[in-house]
Formats: sequence, C-alpha cells, structure tokens
Amino acid sequence: MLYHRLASNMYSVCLRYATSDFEAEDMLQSGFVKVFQSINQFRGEGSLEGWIRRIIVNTAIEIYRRNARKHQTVSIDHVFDQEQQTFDMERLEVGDLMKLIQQLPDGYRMVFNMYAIEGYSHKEIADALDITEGASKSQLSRARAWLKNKLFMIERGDNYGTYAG
Amino acid sequence: MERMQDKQFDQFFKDKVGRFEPPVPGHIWENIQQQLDPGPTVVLHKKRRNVWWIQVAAAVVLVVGATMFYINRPTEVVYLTAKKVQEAGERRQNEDIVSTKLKIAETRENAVNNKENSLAVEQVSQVSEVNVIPRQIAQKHHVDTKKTFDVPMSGSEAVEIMHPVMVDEIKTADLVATAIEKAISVQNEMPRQASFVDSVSNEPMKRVKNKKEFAAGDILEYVASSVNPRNEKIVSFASDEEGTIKVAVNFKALKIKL
Repeated sequence: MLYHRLASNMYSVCLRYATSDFEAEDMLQSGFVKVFQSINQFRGEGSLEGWIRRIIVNTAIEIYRRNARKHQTVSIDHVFDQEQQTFDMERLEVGDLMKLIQQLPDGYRMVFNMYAIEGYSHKEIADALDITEGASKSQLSRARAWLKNKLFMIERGDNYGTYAG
Repeated sequence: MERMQDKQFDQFFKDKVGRFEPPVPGHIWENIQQQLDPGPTVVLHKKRRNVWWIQVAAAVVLVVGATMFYINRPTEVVYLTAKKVQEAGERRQNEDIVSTKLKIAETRENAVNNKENSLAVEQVSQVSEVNVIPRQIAQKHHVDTKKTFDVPMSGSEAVEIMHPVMVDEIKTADLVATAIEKAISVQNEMPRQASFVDSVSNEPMKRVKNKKEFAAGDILEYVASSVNPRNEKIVSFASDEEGTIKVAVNFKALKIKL
C-alpha cells in the first residue's frame, strides 16, 4: 500500500520542514491528501516516490509561506560563527539532528532543507520561496553556520538550544 | 574530523537524516481517509434532503397542474331542442340550425309513449357505451300512417336530424339498443350516405326527408366542428320547449372518426 510504504519516509521529510511534531503530522496529512487527489496526474516520469516527495515538500513550502505571512519572521542575522569547525558528528543521533533542524529559524530551515538535503538549486529555491537567489545563498550559509554553532555547543556538553554565555 | 567543507557538511546531514524513518502516528492515516472520503452519513443526509425537496416540488407541480387542467377544461354543449307539431299535415317548417342549436320537430305524442321513449333513450345511452348515439326516434310515420286506424298509442317524435337511426317503435330498451348499435355501425361505415334504413322506416324516412333533414353524419360533423376538437362533445336531446333534457350524448369517442 502506497501510504504505508512511504509514510515513514515522508514523515521524516515533514519533520525536517516543520518546527514541531504536531506541525509535521499536519503537513504529512494534507500532503498525502493532495497525493491521493492528484494521483491520476502522475505521468510516470521519474519515480513515484520522487513525485510524492515533491508534493510533500511543496506542501511544506505552502505552510511556510502561510506562516511567514501571518507573523513576520524575525530574521536572525546575528549568528555566532564558530571559528573552530571540527565536530565528531558520527556520534550524533539522527533524532538530535532532526531537533536541530527543526530549531533552525524558518528561512534558514527551508533553504537548508531544500538545498542540502533535497538537492534543489538556488534558483528553484528562490522561485519557490519568492526570494532572490542571493538571499537563498546567504540563508544557506547562515543556516550552516547556525547548525555548526549548535553542534559545537553540543560537543562541549552544553545543552543545545541555548547559547553559552 | 578536520575543517569541514560545506558540501561534506550537507552530505553528512543528508545521509543521516535521509535514512531516518520515524514511526508515523496511526491516526494520520485515519484522518487522510476521512478527508478523502467524507463520512457517508453526511452524504446520505444531503442526498435525502435533496430528494425530499424534489418530491415535494414534484407533488406541488402535479397538484397545481392537475387542478388547473381540470378547472380550465372547457366544456361545450350543443343543445338539440324539439318543437311540437300539431298535426302531421300541418307541420311547421323546421327552422334551420341557429348557432349551435338544432331544432327538432316533434309531433304530438301521447304521454305514455313519451315516457316510454325517454325511458328507452336513457337506457340506450347506458347500454351503448360508445357514447355516440345519434338518436333518432322517428315514430312519426306510425302516427301518420296509422292514425286513421285510430291507433292512439304510438307517440311520435320526428327527429329530422337523425334519419339514420330510424327506429320504428321503441317498445323495449333492448330493441332500441340493438337498433342504435346497428345504426352506429352502419353509420361508421358510410356516414355520408345517411342511408341507414331500418326495416320498418322506409316510408317515414322519405317523408321526413321532405322536410328539413340532416344526415346523421352531417349532424355529427356539425357538432364536431362547432366545438374544439379536444373538448367533450355533448349532444343533448330535449323533449319540449322547456328544454328538459331527455338525453345527453357525449361524442367525444367519435372525435377521431369525425
């Protein structure tokens, strides 16, 4: 069955784009509703999983844009750029990485997910999020910096999620 | 791990996170199904509601339509009236048909016979369901021919309109019925001829013919053409000046033939 075969995978995608598990569930639900409603439009180009994945990501983008309109996202420009960038990331649990991604500021999260994990180009990201390519690039680098900073703190034993004074 | 390149960094996340397969809460699938297939009760309710309104609307339309049809249905009645004639010799010239009225000359009749006639006629109309009874009761010849013999009984109605059905003496309803049915069948075959001749009535018919007379076919045609084809066609026969209707005949059944 289509849903049961792919639900876990797609839920993982949703978790990355969402800020909470609750939001991810919502995303997964409405995404799959779209999949079933437009399944007859699948042309057989590429894999069905890829097609469904795009629908899920598009759903995530819709939700992001809707939320972005609702409350102006405060872009955090000031990111502490960690100089030392060596992490022993093999030790990190996937669950922890997920949490980190979810904690990324909205714009960073979208760009990082789409570029680093989904493999979209900056042009595609710019079109999808209605921003410039330059903005996409800078958001991506900031997202990386943000994540590295967090990882550094984790490595130092700090409780991630809070900045060490 | 030394300084990490951006690509490596991204790849690391992709590998780790891409393989992540978290357990999916079970209620999501139920929600999806519910969203895709809205509850049947709701649909049923809606449908039933629609059907209900349609039924009511249909019933109202039906009732109103039937009522209006019934109310508007026009009925035209052609009255045939009869006039009394004093003697056989001094018959009044019959008048022509005026508008929708046909005059029927009626000879003096004796009361008993009259009753008998009317009775017979009534029975005729009942017996022959055809509705179309060009009825003529021409017994006049009896009076004319037999008067000298002092035959008191034969009341006579000379209906000039109806010479096709000449019934000599109407003694019983059965006789009349058969005669009229005969007349009708004959008339249907050759309505224009007006040549239905009863066994007895040859002579009287001739006499009647001298006066204003109409073939049954003509009468029917007149009646039929004077009213809307789709309406009821009723020809009533009155026995006297007061217009007491002895018989009313509905010609509706003949409209196609006419």
